[in-house]
Amino acid sequence: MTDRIVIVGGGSGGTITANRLAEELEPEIEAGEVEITIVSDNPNHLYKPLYLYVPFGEATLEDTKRPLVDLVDRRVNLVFEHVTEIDTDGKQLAMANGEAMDYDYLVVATGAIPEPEETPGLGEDEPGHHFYGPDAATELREALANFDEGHLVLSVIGTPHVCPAAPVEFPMIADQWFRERGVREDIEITYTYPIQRLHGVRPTAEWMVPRFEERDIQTKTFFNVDNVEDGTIETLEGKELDFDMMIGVPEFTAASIIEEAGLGEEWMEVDRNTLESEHAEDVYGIGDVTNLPTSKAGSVAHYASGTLVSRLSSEVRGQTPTETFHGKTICFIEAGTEEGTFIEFAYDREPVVRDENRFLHWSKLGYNEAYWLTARGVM
Amino acid sequence: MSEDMSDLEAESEAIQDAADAMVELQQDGTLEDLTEAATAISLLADALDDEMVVEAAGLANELGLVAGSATQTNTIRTLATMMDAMDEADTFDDPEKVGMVGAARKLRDDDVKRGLGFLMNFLGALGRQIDRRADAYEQAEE
Repeated sequence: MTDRIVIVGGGSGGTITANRLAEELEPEIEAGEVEITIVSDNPNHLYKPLYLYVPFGEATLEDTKRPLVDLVDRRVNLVFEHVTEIDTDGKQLAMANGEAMDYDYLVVATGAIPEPEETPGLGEDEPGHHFYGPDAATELREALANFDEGHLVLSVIGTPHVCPAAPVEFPMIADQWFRERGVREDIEITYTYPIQRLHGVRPTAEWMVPRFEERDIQTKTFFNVDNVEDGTIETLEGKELDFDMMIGVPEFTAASIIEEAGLGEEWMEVDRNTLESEHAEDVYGIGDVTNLPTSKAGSVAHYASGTLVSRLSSEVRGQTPTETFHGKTICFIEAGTEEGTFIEFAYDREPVVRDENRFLHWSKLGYNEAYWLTARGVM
Repeated sequence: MSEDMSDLEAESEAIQDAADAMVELQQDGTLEDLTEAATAISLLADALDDEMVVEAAGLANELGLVAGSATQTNTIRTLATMMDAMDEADTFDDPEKVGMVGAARKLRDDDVKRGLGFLMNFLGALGRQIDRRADAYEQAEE
């Protein structure tokens, strides 16, 4: 009898997990006892952190994607279809082409989906820009290239949001980018955040304060964007802020199949140490789709996949799973165009932000190039 | 006040520990080595720019992806076997020219049959891998 492991989602969590499972369960796969399949509605694997660089001309859309088949072990089956329903009782997926797929073990890795449309006035062809998608990032690139005076506002609208560093990096990169272009004196930059400090991660917020001050980046906290009119942001608190260019970090959501399948109300509810679903047997979650009490960052999926692979492999082999995940998270933070730093933390370890330097900036640039090794399960 | 005192004490202890460590490094010569190594890092910092880092990391990435495939067990064994065979074949020592008749005669050799079996197997696997990728590339470009 063949154990069918199905992974829904071909992003970082799904791809890394599939590759590591294929390596771990190689003997069982060769013996025909295990089959691993990724079901993805995108034949390309996207490295979304690069969208931050597209508006500044530092990356192209081609840099942000590779065919999934190039990044996946040959033993992993690929099905390019959209999953429309998860039946956890019948252990079956329904797909948009009308076909069904049975599973013995399911890994849900459907990520977090940006919802700019939830904020009136934010999105393509709207007054407010964002960079959380290829078309939006391209549109913002053109707008930024033609912006040489006025008030630029970066507003974090949704929390949690993916890639916790990006909203911090954008104004710092913009500040230095405008200086290099000789127009910074004619541009005012403001950063807004919805809670009473500059970032959800307290040490990051503390790190930001002096650095935003020395870069003359204004800040507004407890600023919850309600809608974006042409030239004015209106907030739930009744405040207004005029702008000449506005970039928003939108709301994010899990795919609707998560709630419909009873796997969670907002995000997929999993045990924070075992990654097992709180609501269904033989179902695991990984990556941004989950409600893990840490940031929605690729590194979390990377580190969590080790635990998931170990536990799932143990189950397949009829052994008691023992490995547990303790929330390891690491994020690079660009502090402009020449220096960078990183933050590292776990469930039981407070974040520490180090002073920025050139080497850490280069480390981030280097990792952007070498990310595909992580996806392939090599690094 | 007592909290400030205990902070000061902790800091003072940390400074003492750091000083002790520096003395040790100085006495055993490690500090001098570290200082010399630091000048090399300084050179690296001055010589590198973003473009060089991106190029080098990009190359390492592509090589790494190939190496990742190359380290699969069967691949390593097959590559090693083929390299042994290249060495045994002694290609340049009075190389034979084999025509159609000679080839037919050689096909009666059990070792040649075994090698041909591998080649046929490999061609079948190559065809399957090409099919798998060609379909996926076509969809990726849509």
